[in-house]
Amino acid sequence: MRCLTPKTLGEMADALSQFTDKSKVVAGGTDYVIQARRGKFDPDILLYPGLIPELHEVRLGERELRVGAMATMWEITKVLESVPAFRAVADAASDVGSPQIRNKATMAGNLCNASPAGDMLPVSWLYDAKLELLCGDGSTRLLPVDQFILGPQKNALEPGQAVISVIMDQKPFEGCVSAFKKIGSRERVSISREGMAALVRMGKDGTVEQARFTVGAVASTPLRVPETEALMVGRHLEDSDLLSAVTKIISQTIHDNCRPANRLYKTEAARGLTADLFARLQERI
Amino acid sequence: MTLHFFVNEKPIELETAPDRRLLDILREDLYLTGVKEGCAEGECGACTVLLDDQAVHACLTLAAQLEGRRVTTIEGLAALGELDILQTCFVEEIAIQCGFCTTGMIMSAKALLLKNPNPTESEIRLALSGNLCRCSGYVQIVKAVQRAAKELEAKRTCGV
Repeated sequence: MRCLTPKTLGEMADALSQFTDKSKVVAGGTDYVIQARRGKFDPDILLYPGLIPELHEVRLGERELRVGAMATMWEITKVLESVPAFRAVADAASDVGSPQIRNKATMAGNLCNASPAGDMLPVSWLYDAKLELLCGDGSTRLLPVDQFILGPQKNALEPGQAVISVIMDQKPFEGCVSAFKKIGSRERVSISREGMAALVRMGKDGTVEQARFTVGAVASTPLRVPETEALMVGRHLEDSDLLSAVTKIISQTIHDNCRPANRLYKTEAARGLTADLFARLQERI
Repeated sequence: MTLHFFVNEKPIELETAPDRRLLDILREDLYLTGVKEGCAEGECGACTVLLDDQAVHACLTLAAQLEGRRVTTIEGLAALGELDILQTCFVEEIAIQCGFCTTGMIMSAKALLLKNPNPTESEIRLALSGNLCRCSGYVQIVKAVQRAAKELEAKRTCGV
């Protein structure tokens, strides 16, 4: 096995140009090492891009939020926990695995791994995130997350391509507040059995002007729930009729999309989780 | 690959496979057996060490990820022959039974105190949430970390 540790994006492109279909990129390694030890892959080339400084940046520019492929969950949390529009990303990153995992794991890695239970999936769907891919010839291309993740553990990367950043537009979400909340089998170090993310913009009269709602870990990829979003517009978040109407739609969506064996748990869990998510949003308005 | 990195502040040069785990490098190549292998999949925290002062799993860290970085193990806390205040407090609070989780616990606590010298109880519990103990229980462990933080603060105040 050859190890390539490029120090610039140019060197990384050169490294990618040597890739075969057996070659791999390792970022945080928290999923990679487990899968490699189970024999899932035995790469001829292992590329570690951690020595490229710009890939560690979480940069909130005027037009977009750019999360470098090597930025850890901890670093993402620190930057975004004070940014209301992207607070949902911080919520999700701050609750992935344990402190040890969050000190290494990355958002890009979570998306590449494409586990249906991955917490960065529903938040990426919430913002219509795009992945920036670097190719062996030095060119880059952008791919929307719903075209990048093709199914459980399946992404659209071709040999010789690697994710270098996750990009979320800033403009459409200016003035919004957001939240993510998950439920697992225990309080900490838990894999999501269901996750929900929401984003709202409040009008001057205290009602919802714009809303987005996504649900993760119920189907192979996250679900956006436009019926809920439409229902929320013009209403007060503390309106209990709104909460029960939203819960009903979410539960029905989950019922229609999840595996029959999980239906009872996931539809029931949705009731509490929706209420918790609404409470989180209200605290932040 | 030829790897250059630092272990307990000593520069190390090592010929190794890129997919060799830090856990194996420490235990088998450098004979630092304080770091323990528990679950080998990032659940139990027994292999916790510091990487550039942050707690990580040595079982999920590869040689490929280590070039130029600083690793601290439990041996590095008492490098001059004197126990770290965390080690002393774990002993005095009887926060140890079989000892298998202890080095990982202490390294997670060390990472916390480096970032946050005055943690609340819930911050301590959060920092230790990735470390499992199957025998002595968590109450004494949390107390030991609280005591270490207090003693460190007393030291700092005296120093002023």
